[in-house]
Amino acid sequence: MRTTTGAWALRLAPVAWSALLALLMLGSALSPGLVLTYDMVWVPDLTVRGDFLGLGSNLPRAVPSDMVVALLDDVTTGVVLQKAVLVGALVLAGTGAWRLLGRAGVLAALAGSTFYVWNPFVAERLGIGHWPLLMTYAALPWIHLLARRLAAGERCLPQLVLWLAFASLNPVGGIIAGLYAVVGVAVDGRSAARAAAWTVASVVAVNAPWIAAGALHGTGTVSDPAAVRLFAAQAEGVLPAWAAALGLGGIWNAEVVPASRTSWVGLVSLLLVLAVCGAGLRSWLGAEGRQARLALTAPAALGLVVALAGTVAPGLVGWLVGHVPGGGLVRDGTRFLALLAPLLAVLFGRGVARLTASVPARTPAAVLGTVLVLMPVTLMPDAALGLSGRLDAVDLPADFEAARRAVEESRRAGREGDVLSLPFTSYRRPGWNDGRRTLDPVGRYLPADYLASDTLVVSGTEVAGEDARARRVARDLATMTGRDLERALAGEGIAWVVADREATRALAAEGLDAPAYGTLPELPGARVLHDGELLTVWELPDPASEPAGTVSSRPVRLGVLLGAWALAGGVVAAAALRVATRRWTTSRQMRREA
Amino acid sequence: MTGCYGLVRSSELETFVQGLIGGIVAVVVGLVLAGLTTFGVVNTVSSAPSQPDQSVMDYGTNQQAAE
Repeated sequence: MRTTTGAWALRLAPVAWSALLALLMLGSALSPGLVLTYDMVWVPDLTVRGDFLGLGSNLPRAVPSDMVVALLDDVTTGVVLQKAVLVGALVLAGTGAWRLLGRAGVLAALAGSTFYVWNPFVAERLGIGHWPLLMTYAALPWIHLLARRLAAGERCLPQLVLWLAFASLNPVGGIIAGLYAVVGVAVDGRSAARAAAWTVASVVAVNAPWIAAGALHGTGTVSDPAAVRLFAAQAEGVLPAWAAALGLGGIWNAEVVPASRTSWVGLVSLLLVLAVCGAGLRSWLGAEGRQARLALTAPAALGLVVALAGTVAPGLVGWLVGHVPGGGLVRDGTRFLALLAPLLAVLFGRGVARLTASVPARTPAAVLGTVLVLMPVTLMPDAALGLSGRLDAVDLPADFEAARRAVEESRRAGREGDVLSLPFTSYRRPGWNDGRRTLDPVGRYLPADYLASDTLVVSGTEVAGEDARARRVARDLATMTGRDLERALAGEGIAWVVADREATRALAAEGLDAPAYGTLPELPGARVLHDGELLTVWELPDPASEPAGTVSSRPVRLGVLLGAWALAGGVVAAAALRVATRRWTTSRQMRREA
Repeated sequence: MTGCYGLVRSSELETFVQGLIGGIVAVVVGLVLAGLTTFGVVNTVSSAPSQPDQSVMDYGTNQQAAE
């Protein structure tokens, strides 16, 4: 009986420990309401729309994540789904790291799991709202294990496909996960050539939606090279950029760096982590074969190189970003530090086990083991409780719902087109979000495709967006008024204009209420559909004709994109079916044998 | 530890001394880490640096905060 209970406790330990860490880190983010922080903008019900397929004029940065969320939040609410995603990602990350260290003992697994969940990469990416990247990060240990099994000749491709799909909800995530999988298999050389080819095909298939959408944009996928210096890895406190990156930190945005990383605690933390990892190196070298080691070290080295490339060689990266379509994916290079994290977690776990085992007396060994396992948490305590309150959940204002109903009624009446969200700036600091910065949430809340600014401002420096339509609209807002502006906007496919009064007032308070930002639009022929405390919605006069330039190209683009989505969906469905069938057959065999 | 009328066998003595040293090292390391952690927490909570004043339209800043 005791053995059975012990076995159950051991089986539940990875999930229970990871869940405990996840709950401690997320804290107030799990209270009722939605978390809006920088790029993480969730709404109660995200409507399915054409742009989520990749049809929009902006780059497909949120393909396929937006469509997946829009479909899943029809099953449950956006509030529940967001919390499930955040908790789920951290729990899967912790349990995956535990599995990576399964053969090294419970203490090593416990320590590795703690490190993998509680480190600067997770805290900073959570802070900036890169939740699809955190899903990629969570999947990496699982992808590594499956890739190694596949290379060894096991028939586990369907499971690998499902993890790749889970990890590939945006372009950068797809590249990181795909790279990890392919390297994990290909390091076995010729003996795994066939498995490697299947892995490459799977990676291309699950990433087909954003690859197709990006390809349809053609040269429009090149980005502003000036952004490279702004988004390069940064120093954190006394740590220079390279040292911060080595400790999985160094994100470009100083606002989301935990305060503990900017004090001397960051230096102590890095030195201790590296010392413990060093202690675990010999144990790891002895326990794993050459290929398995290469499968972890090669992506880790690549991740570190990409993370630091923008700092070390900004000119080269700038050329890549400005000339090679899709090169902009590497401009925020520290996202690729995800590739380094599994290696560090394995070394850290083994180091803790080795140091603890070197103490012969039991009680002091237990003290040391406990202290070392908890070290990642205790040296970055401000990552707890929703990053010290930065992730507080809030309720979106009722005015948003009223604006949504107004646009819905207009659509039911037969009006078609896109929403233009004003002021024409990317980020807001709404009072209802306690002044915390967030990507403009209005467009996502409304039920139609929307056009928002994709120009980014970092420390007062503007980074030009890639969306040509957004550039034209910004020019129109700056140079036209009245009926001319209405006609120009309608020509760009805009049917509704929504102005956020609070954001307009905030810009005016800083003297930034320039016409280019559309803060004071004069729309004499437009009909006011809603005029609330926060939002005003206008319906532009119907031009009674299709927007220029979209008629001929749209069906072709739609056909290509639907093909890509069908490929990805078909591969994922086939893999899921195969896994389910195999599980059912195995359980039936076990019942028979029993 | 006995068995030789009060004399300690050299191998047992070695093990005992190793355990003693290991134990002392472990407790010292544990205490140092606990001390660092406590100081780190207090330091972090009491002196969270203020961010440079950013415009409402900024995505963020790549400039470190002034202590």
